[in-house]
Amino acid sequence: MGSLEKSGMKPEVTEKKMDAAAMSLEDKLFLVKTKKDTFSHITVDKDICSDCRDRVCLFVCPSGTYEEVDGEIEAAYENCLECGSCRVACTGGAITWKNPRGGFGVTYVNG
Amino acid sequence: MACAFTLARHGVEVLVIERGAYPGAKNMFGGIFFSSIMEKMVPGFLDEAPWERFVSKRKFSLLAGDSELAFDMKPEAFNTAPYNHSFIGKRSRIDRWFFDKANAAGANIICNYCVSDFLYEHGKVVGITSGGDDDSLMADVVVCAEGANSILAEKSGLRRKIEPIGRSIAVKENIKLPREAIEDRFGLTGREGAAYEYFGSSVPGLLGNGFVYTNEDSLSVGVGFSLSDLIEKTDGKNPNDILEGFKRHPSVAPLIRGGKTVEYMAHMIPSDGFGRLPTLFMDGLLIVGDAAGLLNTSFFHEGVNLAMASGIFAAETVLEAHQKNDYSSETLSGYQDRLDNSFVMKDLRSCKNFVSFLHSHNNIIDEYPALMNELLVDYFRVSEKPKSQVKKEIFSKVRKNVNLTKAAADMWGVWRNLV
Repeated sequence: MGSLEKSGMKPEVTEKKMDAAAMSLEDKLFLVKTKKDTFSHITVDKDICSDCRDRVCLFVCPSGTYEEVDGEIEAAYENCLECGSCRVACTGGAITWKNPRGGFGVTYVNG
Repeated sequence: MACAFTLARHGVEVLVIERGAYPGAKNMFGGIFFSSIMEKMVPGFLDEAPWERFVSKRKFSLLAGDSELAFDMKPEAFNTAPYNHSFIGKRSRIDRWFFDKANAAGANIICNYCVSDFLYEHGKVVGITSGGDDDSLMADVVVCAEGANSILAEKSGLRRKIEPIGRSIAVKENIKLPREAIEDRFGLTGREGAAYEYFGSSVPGLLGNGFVYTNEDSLSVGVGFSLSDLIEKTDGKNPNDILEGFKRHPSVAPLIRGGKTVEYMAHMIPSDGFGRLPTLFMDGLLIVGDAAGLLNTSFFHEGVNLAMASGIFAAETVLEAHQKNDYSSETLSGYQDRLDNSFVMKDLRSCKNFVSFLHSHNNIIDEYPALMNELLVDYFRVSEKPKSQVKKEIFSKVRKNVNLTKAAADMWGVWRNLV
């Protein structure tokens, strides 16, 4: 099956700070094997967000994909771990989450 | 995959669609593969599948603050083949191995294909598309095994939009350690493995638990908890914060000490419960596994075996439809009957109140463990106080802190709904 692995899917693993007891989320995200698309699989409806007080997307996402920038929600889709929690948690319907296109996104080695 | 394997073995033309680079590339589970169904399909599983360790030792632990109360078992019955059909492993390895078996039986696969929607003709599902112009694939019947985040099941109209109460989030790390360190820390020999589950304050105030499972030369360390609890009961805590809190617990930190994290992963888990399961069939379509919400949310945490059983039932139903050349919902409803008459729905029915009971009895996950810990500490504390006096003080503490009628009702509820 190895031939099915796309040659572009190189893990971006850094050796720094891999100590399990002291890793930041940012460092952990560096470990995830991802093939980044140029196109976002997540879109955020900023009109809906502007009326949303809860903004649960800012904390429920395990990879911290959502950030508030100048009062608006931005999605760093390239950090997405594809769990879909944001899609379920955003009951206001502001987040449109699709699976990344075939061949893109995360590949779990130890899942 | 169980469905594809079964169909291929019966000579039916079958194509597996995988959105990842290989089977299992997008999958993540806690780590225990319950294999009784698999062993019936592939009798060689025990000897040749790429599992990491069998589960010879189980621990159920209750964390209260920095304290731990635990029940530990290592029965000889689990230490001999077939090892209680419980194997710690990685989906990326086991799924690839299983696909090779299905492939040998005649199933084909397309990887890197992301299905964006079903294709319909007069209301019947007749194929799939990735949204591109020329990549539609037509079929007599489609079996949807899209997983917990099933967008397609929603699109088909078979289920309503998934709500936060119907899902848990799990995050896990793979932590490398030398195998000798693992065997020494967990008391293991050879391919023996340990599955430790931590309840109580492993996920403070949330319905869920933490876990540590031993791979060959790494640990799977993670937490899983209700998404609705995360939204309602924490003050904006990220799942990673909760995982880090669990890893720092004095009972967990020594197990992972010196380890190197090599991967961080996240996945949703269905907690639909029996009462909120979607409709599982329509003309030309069946839904299996996590996409169908088939997960035992109780202490047993069984998922893969229920998913595989549903895949086999789907295959049997498709075979029947194939013979009749009728893929209407009427014929495909046989899938529901097969599930209903099997351990899958029987088990889901018997644990149907597990989640709702714990959501409505929060004291069971935080107050009782803390009190139990305190009482045991009092009981075993070494002092010059006569034991009879100690017992009296414990009883009076119980009377002061616990409404006995309510506690009796709670315990009855625990027995009825959780055990």
